[in-house]
Amino acid sequence: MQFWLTRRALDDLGLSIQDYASRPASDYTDAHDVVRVFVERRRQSPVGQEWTNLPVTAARAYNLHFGRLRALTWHDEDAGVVWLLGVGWHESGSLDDVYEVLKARDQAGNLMPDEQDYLDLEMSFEEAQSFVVRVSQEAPALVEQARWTPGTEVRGVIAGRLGVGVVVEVVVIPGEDESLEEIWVGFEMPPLEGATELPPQPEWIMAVLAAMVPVSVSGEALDFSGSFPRVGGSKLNEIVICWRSF
Amino acid sequence: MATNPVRVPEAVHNEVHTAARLFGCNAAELLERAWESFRQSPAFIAEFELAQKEFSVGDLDHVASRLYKQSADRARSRATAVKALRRET
Repeated sequence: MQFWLTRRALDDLGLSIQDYASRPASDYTDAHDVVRVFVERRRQSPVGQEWTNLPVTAARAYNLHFGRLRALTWHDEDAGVVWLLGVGWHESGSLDDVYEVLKARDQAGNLMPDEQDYLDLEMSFEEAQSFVVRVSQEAPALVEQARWTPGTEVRGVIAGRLGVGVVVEVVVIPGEDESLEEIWVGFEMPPLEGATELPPQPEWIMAVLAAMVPVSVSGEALDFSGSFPRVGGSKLNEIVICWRSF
Repeated sequence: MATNPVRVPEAVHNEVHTAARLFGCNAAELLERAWESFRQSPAFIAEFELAQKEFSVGDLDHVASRLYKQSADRARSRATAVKALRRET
């Protein structure tokens, strides 16, 4: 579960969009007490105990209290994100009361996260480039390293985030000049914490495999059903893929 | 082969069981069909094999561009889904 502020919520708190919009709130809980309280409470539960009925949007917006400040949060299950939608002062009966302001935003169509907010969740083009460059170097190098010690698992970390095990089994066919290579790759799940931005699954697995698997092996030949060839087999949650080539 | 039970939200669980009845199979068989259909889908194969060729010739900018485009498409589709929650639409 991730915790994010919409750009409007950042603006409500006087926090710089440039500095914070493309970072999860858990990265900057020291920037404002409301951010800290938001992350602490919604980490315990992505929904609150009381909510505000929005005038237009059919979604439950939960109230968050901090002193006289009030905020609304929304659990976006599809994206796996709890959003802080807006913040302000609570003054019952006043037109400036935060709940009235946020309901007015809902009516105007600018309370809930918009396309720019969702783009902030994603990697930038520069981050995508950086990820791809690292994968292009580190993924084939790991397979190559495993070829030097057939039958032995070689472990490495790709792009600083992806814990990967590789085993190359070489099957020599009697009477034939050729040998069959069976390559096993196991991805640890979830990815490790780290500074590199990753595309979501399954895109990062697709990219790493595309950098590892030679073009002579088709996508249909990837086998996702095996158990990693180590004592004890696949680890909990490990994603294991195997392919064969001559 | 026996597998571990899969926990899904209740609404999804109900839909899956309804879909399984529609296809005359059980939920596990439906999951198997869905996965095999995804694995053999032109989209999965095409995406993988295109990236494979681009990596093999060092065309990294194209791989990055397509990852970025998928991100932008996802952001647009999520924003559209949020707009669809508006009762006036």
